Amino acid sequence: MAPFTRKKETLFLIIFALAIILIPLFVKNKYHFMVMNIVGLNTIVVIGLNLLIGFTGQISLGHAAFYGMGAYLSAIFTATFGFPPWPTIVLAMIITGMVAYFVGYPSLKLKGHYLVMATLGFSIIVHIFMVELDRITGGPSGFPGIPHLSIGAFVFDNDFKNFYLIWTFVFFCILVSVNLVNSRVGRALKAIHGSEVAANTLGIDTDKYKTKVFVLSAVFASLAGSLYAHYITFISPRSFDFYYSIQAVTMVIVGGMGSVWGAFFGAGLLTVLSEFLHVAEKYNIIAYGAILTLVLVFLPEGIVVGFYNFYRRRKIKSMIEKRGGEFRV
Amino acid sequence: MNSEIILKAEGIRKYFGGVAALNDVSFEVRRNEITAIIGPNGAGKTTLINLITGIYPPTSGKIIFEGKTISRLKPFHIAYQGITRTFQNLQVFHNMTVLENVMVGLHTQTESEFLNCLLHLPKVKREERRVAEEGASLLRFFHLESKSDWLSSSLPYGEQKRLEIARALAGKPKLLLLDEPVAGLNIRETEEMAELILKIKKMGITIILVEHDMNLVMGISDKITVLNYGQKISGGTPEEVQKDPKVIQAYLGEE
Repeated sequence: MAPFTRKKETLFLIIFALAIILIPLFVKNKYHFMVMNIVGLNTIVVIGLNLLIGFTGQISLGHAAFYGMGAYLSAIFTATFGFPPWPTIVLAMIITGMVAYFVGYPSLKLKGHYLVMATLGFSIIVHIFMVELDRITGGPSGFPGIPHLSIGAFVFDNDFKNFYLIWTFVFFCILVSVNLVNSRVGRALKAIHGSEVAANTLGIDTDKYKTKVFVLSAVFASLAGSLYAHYITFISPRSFDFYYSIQAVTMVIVGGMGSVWGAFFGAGLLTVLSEFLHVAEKYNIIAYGAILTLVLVFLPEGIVVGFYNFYRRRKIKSMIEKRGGEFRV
Repeated sequence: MNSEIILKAEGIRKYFGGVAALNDVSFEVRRNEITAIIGPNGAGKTTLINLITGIYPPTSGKIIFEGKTISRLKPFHIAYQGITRTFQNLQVFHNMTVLENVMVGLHTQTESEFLNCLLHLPKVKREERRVAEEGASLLRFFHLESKSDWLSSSLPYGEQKRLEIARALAGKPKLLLLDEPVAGLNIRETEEMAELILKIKKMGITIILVEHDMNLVMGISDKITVLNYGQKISGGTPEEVQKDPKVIQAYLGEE
């Protein structure tokens, strides 16, 4: 997809920020806030994952592990050892980033699906740790009593307050990602996706860039995990299993690979959809699958990229027809 | 008149499994000349280019560029030394616009890293402006400026070939390697490409040209190296090579 210009991106960011500020004026339902907060947390994970999958073309099936690491590190350090929450979030991001480096560095050097296998294996190992180290993690029954985040005396202790907290983070994650993809590094990542050999011969240290973007995406997931832990105040291994990784990858694909905004729409659509489909009860999974299939059949490039290209084609078509030409696809 | 040697290959061998793609090849490239590498299919021409640009290391032998051994360096290091290339089967980045492709070519000319780019610091802004301007002026040189925001995959084949050269030139190379730049082009496009290559030479850039089109090779090359079955069988000026009986035999077979 042709990138949006800087001006357009800035406009989108302003609209997005206004929407975040204004939405609580219209929404009063506590449940709706909860759904939106989960959308926000998923968006943060998916933005990072999209930098890896959509922009750089490297697939990871292990981001549930990084999401979970953020959550459990925050939980254990604050609730068990009494660390202050905010610095702990940063600490969790650093630890997760280092772990991601040691997982990513060797596996990204290999070609093809080795990263998928390595990350898949890694996430299963992390999940086993969460379940089996029950003295530290609470095991399968979960980890309760995680403190809410607070600034001074102001405690983020309900869905409404957490809405602003989480979506502020979403905003900044989108902002830095938009910065990144429209820069020297972003172009290098896209070049790796386009042709790794060609990228390398143009001076791009492909191994280094792949490792760094992998670490960055893990750090995003860790941040989302920490926020999740402090928001819900209870975590259990079930939230960070293999299915979450699959779900995150699906959100990347449905939203649109290679578009930062796609992450937001993908996370939004699939999170809201699975909530909506509770109505369908036992047909839930079937409806979910059907909608997913329809999106991928009719918009194989994802929602954002698909609609954008559709709009662009219409524009070019009308331009050509105005000049009396014929438009063929 | 002989200018200084910019690149020297000494006893290059490359084996793929038991097959010798290149067997004891030595040759020199002089600064600001066009050196062509020719030979029948499977002679090892592209392998030689891949060795010079570090896609894989030679089994034995040495490649020296400006007095420095480069035969064990990674491709991106070699790009920083001042060698860039195009590919026989186009490797334009199809997921990016025409301008972005050239901007990637400027990678070695810029230095913003992850943290700076995430925060979009003023230094990054300045660099972005410079890169966009330099990219645009390169596109003008290659007559692609009107299509700068097209997706590169939507360009016609001949323009994609030009774009790939533009991208390689963006890195301000001292040595440019062109792997079959006119393959698949029609006669007019081929003539334009020949002019373009001569223009690039005039900019002070040394060129290694792998090509099957003999008119082009004989017309613009200063020196020619002939490979056959992974061995160098002849070398010299176009006149010398054309008269060499070994070359005639390799191309036309024995009587």
